This record gives sequence, C-alpha cells and structure tokens, in this order.
Amino acid sequence: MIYLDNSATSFPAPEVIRSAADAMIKFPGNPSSRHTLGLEAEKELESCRKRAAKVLGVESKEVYFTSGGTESDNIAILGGANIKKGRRVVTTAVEHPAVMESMKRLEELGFEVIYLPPEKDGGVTIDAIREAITPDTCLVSIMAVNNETGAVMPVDKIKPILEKTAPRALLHTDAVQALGHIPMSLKKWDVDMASFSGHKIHGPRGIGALYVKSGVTIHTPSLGGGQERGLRSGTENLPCIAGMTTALELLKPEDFELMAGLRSRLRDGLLSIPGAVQNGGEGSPHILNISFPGIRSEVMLNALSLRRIYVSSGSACARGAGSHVLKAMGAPLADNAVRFSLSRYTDKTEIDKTVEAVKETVTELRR
Amino acid sequence: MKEILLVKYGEIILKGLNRRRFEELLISNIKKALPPDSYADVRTSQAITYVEPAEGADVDGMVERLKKVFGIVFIARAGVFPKDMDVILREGAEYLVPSMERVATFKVEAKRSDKKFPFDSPAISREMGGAVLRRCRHLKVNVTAPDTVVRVEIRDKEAYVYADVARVSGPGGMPTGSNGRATLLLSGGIDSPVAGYMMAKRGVEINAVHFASPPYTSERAKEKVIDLAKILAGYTGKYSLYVVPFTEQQLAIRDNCPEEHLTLIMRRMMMMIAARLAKRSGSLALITGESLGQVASQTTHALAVTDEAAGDVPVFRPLIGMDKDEIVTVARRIGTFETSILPYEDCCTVFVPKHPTTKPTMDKILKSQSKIDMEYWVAKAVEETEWVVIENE
Repeated sequence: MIYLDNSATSFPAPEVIRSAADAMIKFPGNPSSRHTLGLEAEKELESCRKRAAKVLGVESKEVYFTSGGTESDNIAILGGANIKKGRRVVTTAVEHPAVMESMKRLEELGFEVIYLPPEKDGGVTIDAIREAITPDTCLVSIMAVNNETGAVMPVDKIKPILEKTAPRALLHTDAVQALGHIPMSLKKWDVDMASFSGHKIHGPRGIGALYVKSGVTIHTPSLGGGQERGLRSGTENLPCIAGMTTALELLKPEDFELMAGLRSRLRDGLLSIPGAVQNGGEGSPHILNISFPGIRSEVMLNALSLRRIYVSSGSACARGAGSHVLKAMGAPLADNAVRFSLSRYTDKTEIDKTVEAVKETVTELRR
Repeated sequence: MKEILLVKYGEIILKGLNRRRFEELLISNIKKALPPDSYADVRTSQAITYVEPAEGADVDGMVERLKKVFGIVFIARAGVFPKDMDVILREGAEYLVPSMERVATFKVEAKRSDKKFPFDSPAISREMGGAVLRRCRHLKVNVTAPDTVVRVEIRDKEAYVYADVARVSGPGGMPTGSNGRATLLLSGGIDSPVAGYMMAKRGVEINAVHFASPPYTSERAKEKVIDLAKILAGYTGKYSLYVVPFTEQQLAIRDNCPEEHLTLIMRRMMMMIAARLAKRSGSLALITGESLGQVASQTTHALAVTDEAAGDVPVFRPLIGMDKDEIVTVARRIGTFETSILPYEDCCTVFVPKHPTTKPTMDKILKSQSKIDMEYWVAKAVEETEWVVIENE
C-alpha cells in the first residue's frame, strides 16, 4: 500500500497512539471535577497545553483545544467578526469549506464578505489583499496553505496593512495544512487567531486547537459549560489532546525538506507524462496537484486504488460539481486533477513506484 | 396478553385450482420472511392465514416484515381470549381501547365457526357492542357507515377480537415464486430496483445482474448496488447478484464501433450476457428498468434493437409506460430512492456518445456491431462473472 492522501488524513504516529491510550488509562476523570481524579486530569490538560504552546511558540494561555480544524475556524470567524468594528470581511475564494460556510453565515448576518480570487499558482497576492482591506474591515481570514494545491499565502505580510488601514480588525489564518509542513511563526506572522487540526499531523481525529492572541476577545458561538476559558464548551477530550500534543512535539523542520525533495521527485516523474499539467506552483512541500488530460479524476483515483495506491481527486465531489479551488484558479483541466499529498513517512521507493503506476495507468486508460 | 396475526391475502383466492399451491407458497414465504423462532404456528383456514407468535416474540417487528410479503393485502393484529363470554367481553373491550380511541363510530361483526358456543352471532355482536360502549364513552354505534368494524371470531379453541382500524396494509400482489424466475438488470439508478420490485410483486422470483467497469466505476458504486439489492431482498427474499466485469467490453466497443451507436451496442451486449446468465440460473425472462423515451437508448426504435439481442428470452419492462415522477414515488415508498441517488458513476454513463442515435435500424446496428467479435466478448464476460448472495439485513 502507498498512501498519498495525507492532506485528507494522516496515519497516527505510534507515539501518538501510545500517549492517547496512556492518557485514557491514567486520567479518567473530568478536568472540571473538584475531586482528586478531576484535579489530576486538569493538571495533565494544562501540561499538554504548555507543551503544545511551546511547539507553537506561543503562551499556553493562548492555546485553546477544540474538536478540530472545522470547529476552530467556526469559532474564529463567527466569534471574530464584529459588526461594531466594521461590516467588511476579507477572505479568499479557495478556503476550506469550514471557512467558506462560516463566511456564508456572516453574509446572512449582514456582513460584506470579499472573496479574493487566486492567481494562476493558486495563491493570492499581498497587493490583492491590501486593495481589499478598507477602514470598515473587521476580520481578515486567509489560509496559510491551500489544501488542494499547496499554495502558500502571504499571511505574514497582512498585519502591517491592517495596522495602517483597519487597526481594530482581527487577522485569522486557517493553518491546518501549514502546520508540520512549512516554517511557521505565529508571533512573527502576528496573526490574532490560527486554526490547527490534530489528524493532519499524525495526531488523532476529533481534536484541534485555536490560537487566540492574548488580549484579543472574541464572541464565541460555542456555548455550554464554559470549558477552555469559555471559548470552547464541552468536556475536554483529554486522550486526544495528549495525542495531539505528542504529534506536535514530533514535528521537525528537517522533515519539511525531506518532503520537498520527494515532492520534486514526484513532480518531475509525473510531469514527464505527456500532457500532464501541474495545478498551482511551488507551494507547501507535501501537496502536488496534477491533471492528466483525457482521464477523469475519479477514474484515475479508482485505477490507482486498484493498485493499492491511495490519492485524492482534485475535487471533493464524485460527479458534476468540481473543485471550487481549481475553478477559482481557472485551471482548464479541473476535472482531470489528482492530488498527491505526502507525509514524513513517505519514502523514495514509494514515490518511484507511484510514478511508474501512474505512467502505466495513463497508458492503459488512454489506449 | 396473547395476540395472533390474521393475514388476509388477495387475488390468489381467484386462481381456482392453483389456489392451494399459492396458499402453501404464501405460508412458506411468510415463514421465510419471519425470524425462525418468532412464530409458533402458521396455518390457513377459510382464506385467512393465521400467524401465531411464539412466546415473547417481537410482534411489531413481525408485522413490519409481513408488510413486505407479496400476496398479503392486510395484516390484522388480534387479541386471543379463552372461549368464555364474560372474559371475551371484559378483556376484549379493554384490548380494543387503543384502536377505538382513533374512531367515533363502530359496529360489531361476530363469526362463530364453533356452533356449540352458547351464544349465536347476533347475540355476540350485541353483547360486545354493549361492552365496548361501556368501556369507551365517546363511541356511538353506526351499523350503516361505521368508522371501524370490531370483529369477534369464535374459533375451535379460542376467540379472536380486533378492530379493522388496527389493520395494516401489505404490499398486495402475488406470492413470490408463483410466477417463475426472472433476471433483473440492476444498474444502481432509480429505475431498475423499482422494476425488480414490480415484477417480484407479480410473483416473480428474481435474481440480478450488475455490470461493473473498474476503474471507470468505483468500488463505492458497486457497494451502492449491493446496498440497493439488499433493500430489494426485503421484498423478494434471498437471491443471487451476478457482477459482470465489463470494462474491456466497453473499451472494445468504444475503440471499434461508430460513436453514435456505442450505447446501443453496449446495451445489446448487456442483454446477451444477461440472457445467457438467466438461462444458466434457471430464469425464464429478463427485467429492465427501461421507460419509453426516458433517454436516447429507450426510444421505441432503440428498444426494438435492444430487444432483439435477448434472443428467445422475453424482456419484462414494467416501467415502460411510467413517468419519472411516478417511478420516483414507488422508489421512495419501497425505500430504494435515497440509495439510488448517491452520486457514483454507473457503467452506462462511462462512455456516452455526444450524439447518440435515437432511430437506429437493425441492419445499421448489426453492421456497426460486426466491427467486434460479440460472441468472444459475451463469452468472456459470462466466464469472468462473480456472484454474491444478497440477503436483507
């Protein structure tokens, strides 16, 4: 089996599984309970938060655990937009549905949402962002890395513009695909909020985090028992929090370069196939999106699946409605797009086998 | 509280000398549809089949299953009482309360097959009517147009009491197996499961054939067809699904035959393969979900050309005169619609010509078809066919 669908989900690291299981056994109490078991669980929770914060280079009080990237995005956007500060919200046309659907909700609530179209390479330019920001802007939400093309957005250059034009506006980034794949400094980027997911970095599913800069207040839509200092209600998922913390600690910048090397190798191999076109450009080292003319995404996916090579069609839908990302980019071969997404566990042999298999498949399907 | 299910069947009583065979078949189908330990006895007397639940059986669940057994017109759930008039009146009236809350007027019809019972039918009716009126104060008697009829039956060993309002409808039709076996071409769309249902309702025992074209069709598409087949098995009982690998055949047609005839030649090859599988499995006919004019391959001309390929095997097309919304209504009712509309490719949509012929002629199609060795490809497909046993879960 060759698994190249890591942007959909990545396999949990063995260390992650152990730490989640350990937490399940050792800390069965509810962190909110007043007795000893509750206290122990709470201590473990805070220790995880501290370790996670260290990896992210932020303070522990700035880390809030959520149920995943989607919930982080929902809280950041619905909680961060504030009509008293302004009506305008700026985002891109290539965001994840968790952001897109939150934006639609904001529109229903009376906000004016600007969806910046991407360039040919799948990214948006800082000039386009600058032009969209007005004094009436209350929130900017721009993903750090696009999940279909791997395009890297200039998130690090937005804050100075906001300070000049709309100083009260908040800056959010969906960093789900950036984490573990590109060098990241939340403090240097100077974002107010950032969303993360556990299972994209070999952690468990059902867990994520939202970074909220100290001093920033948001009006959370998550209501209940007031856990996570009121930002995200619901009993804390301690086993998965422990697992995600371990996953964070296993991230190494060296892996970025390893992945980048493998991605180049894969790209060179696949682009040697007649007609093959890359969607997007140099981006995050783990995502490669390529169209093979004449072969529909789903057919290529099925054919590779029969060879036990698992990839993703560029579009999330099986039929009809294609990828909103590729469509927004104006990619001419959106129906033929295949996404290969690597992980630090991918090796050279797998890359070479994949190239061979794709070559053979293309020959068979085009005969 | 002991209960019994009275199962009333429909047209099979009209079928003269065959009636006994149909009744036996219905009893056998009822037994197959119910969990083996759920019933103590199934017997027929005077055009009613009595299903006696076992001690502690899930009677609601039994009714749900019987609702899908073809040949059944309705199922009545009756209270069973000892043949003691006081008990029948007191406990019978109590048993009727939930049913009677739904109506305003009623009358009682009593039947006494045990003529030694000390009360005659009019007396039983009168007494029961009084007992019900005393128990349910809101009711009135209406002998000409009652909201419901309360029925009291004095049998050999016991007495049964129920109200018509508590009856549930069965699917009607004829008992499965009373009309031979036929092979359904099951695609995964909305139409073919409905076609299978309609023929099964007429007493046909079905099996099914599905054409799969990996990698052009996905594993999920095949799983979807199996899911649909299982829903259908709730009505038809257990059957075999033949899965025919069809990719090479489709490619051969695409690569060698004129584009405007691709779909029709493919349909013809499907018919040939299905006819051969039908004969092998003891089927006497094919069933398709074709509806006149729905797509280019379902015009009168196209169907004539398709039909020819089935040779001496008749093709049943129960949807031929139905509109799409009529088909959808049935699909919703039998529970296949939601699965049918899941968006996976089926093999019919893999290679679609831009301008398909709508008025093909036999000689033109035969000429186009002669570009490939039909017999070779048909035999190969039949050879490589796999089969799955389909059972309702």
